[in-house]
Parts: sequence; C-alpha cells; structure tokens
Amino acid sequence: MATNWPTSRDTFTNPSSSSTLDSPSHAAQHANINDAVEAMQLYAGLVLVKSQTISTGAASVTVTGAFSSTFLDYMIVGQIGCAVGSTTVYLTLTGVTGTPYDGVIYYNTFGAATAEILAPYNNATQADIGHWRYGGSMIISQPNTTGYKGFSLSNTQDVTYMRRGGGRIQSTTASTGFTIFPAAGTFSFGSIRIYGFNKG
Amino acid sequence: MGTYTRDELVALYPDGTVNVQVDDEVRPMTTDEWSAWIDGQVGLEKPTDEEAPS
Repeated sequence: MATNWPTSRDTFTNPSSSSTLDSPSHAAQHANINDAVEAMQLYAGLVLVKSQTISTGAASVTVTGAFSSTFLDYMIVGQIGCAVGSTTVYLTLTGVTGTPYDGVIYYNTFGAATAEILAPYNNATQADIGHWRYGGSMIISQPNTTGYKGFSLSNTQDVTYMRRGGGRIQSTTASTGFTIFPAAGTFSFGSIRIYGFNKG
Repeated sequence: MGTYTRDELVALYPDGTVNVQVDDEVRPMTTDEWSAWIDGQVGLEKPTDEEAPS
C-alpha cells in the first residue's frame, strides 16, 4: 500500500497477538509505515525546530541552530516580556553584519480613533520586531540562504499597542540563528518556538 | 520621562546583574561587556512600565 498522504489519511491494519508474520504481511506493514513516515517528513506543514525560554535579566538571547537548509522559511511565535514594558525588541541574524535591515512598523493604540502610525527604518543594524508581551509571530523567509531575506510580523504589547510590519535583510550571509534584545533594559520573561515550513 | 544618564543606568543595572543568554546557557556580562552595554543605553528615552501578563 503506497501512502495516500497528504491527499487523504492512511488506514492501517494493526496485527493482533495471534497474527502470523504473513497475515497481515509483516514486510508490507513495515513498507506502509516507511511510506507514511516519508510522506510526513515531506508534507508535514510546520515542523518544530527549537523551543527557547528567555531568562529574567538577560540583555540578549541568542538562539543557535535555528535555521538550516532543511527548511526555506521559518516562523517564530511566542511571548517576549521586557523589564521595561513599553520597550520594543530588536532582532539580528547570526553572522549578518553591517546595516542591512530595512523595515516598517505600523502601530496604533487599542480603542483609539487615531489612524495607524507609520514607523519606517532603513539601513539599520537590527530589525525592529515590536512588542511581544502578549504574544507575537514572525515569518522569516530564507534566512539560511545566500539570497536577501524577508520578514513579516504582528504582535501585541499590552493595553497600548498592537503592531504589524515587515521588511527585508539585504545580506547574502546564510544565517543559522538569531539574537533578540530589548531596545532598553533586559528581558523579564518569555518563551519562543521556532518552526520550519516544510518545503514539500 | 526624559532620558537615562549613565549614573542612573549603573544604579539600575549594577555590574554583575545583567546577563547574556545563548540557548539555555546564561552568564553574567563581563565588566567590559556590561560597560559597553551601559554606554549603549545612555540617552535612551525612559519608557513607561506596564504590567506583566497574568
């Protein structure tokens, strides 16, 4: 039985304690499982690459081994709290130097009638990834390739701001990880997870 | 509001109290790292604190 995944879910026959090796076929059982596992590796959507707890009092957190050639695009999700609550968080890719970070952040105040405020930055030494106190997500495109990288994000600070934005990282360095740090002060809590998008 | 002075920052973050984390390994900054970090914080706007999430 070749696997049906991802078109449909497979139906497997479980052997019983009295089953012989030929009914159901022991070899076929292994082949079916192998086919299904290979299909899962190929077509699983988001694959958890790494989880990282952020310690209280850290001025920066570097996550190694987050990006590889196994995946092209990645998602970072979680909560990041800063000791100074209204402080934004910056991100740099490991090995990427200079001022290749261009981006834009749109933000506004919950419940306020004011329009979104635009906050662009160009030729920066880091990406502004906003406030993750109440959770955030960020997609980074092809960080481990030698092409330019892109990112998009949205997150929530608290009662004050929600932010969304994105940008590009004009670097041809293939990066394997990243560092995050508050614009001011230290982290107070947090936990993030890095997922890879399966390339199929 | 206003901005931080170096003396205020040193009082707020004494040497030995600021850490650097790499994966699950956490260590205090060396004095040189800490001094450079303090310098980088001088002049930043004093933000308003917000409550941590429950």
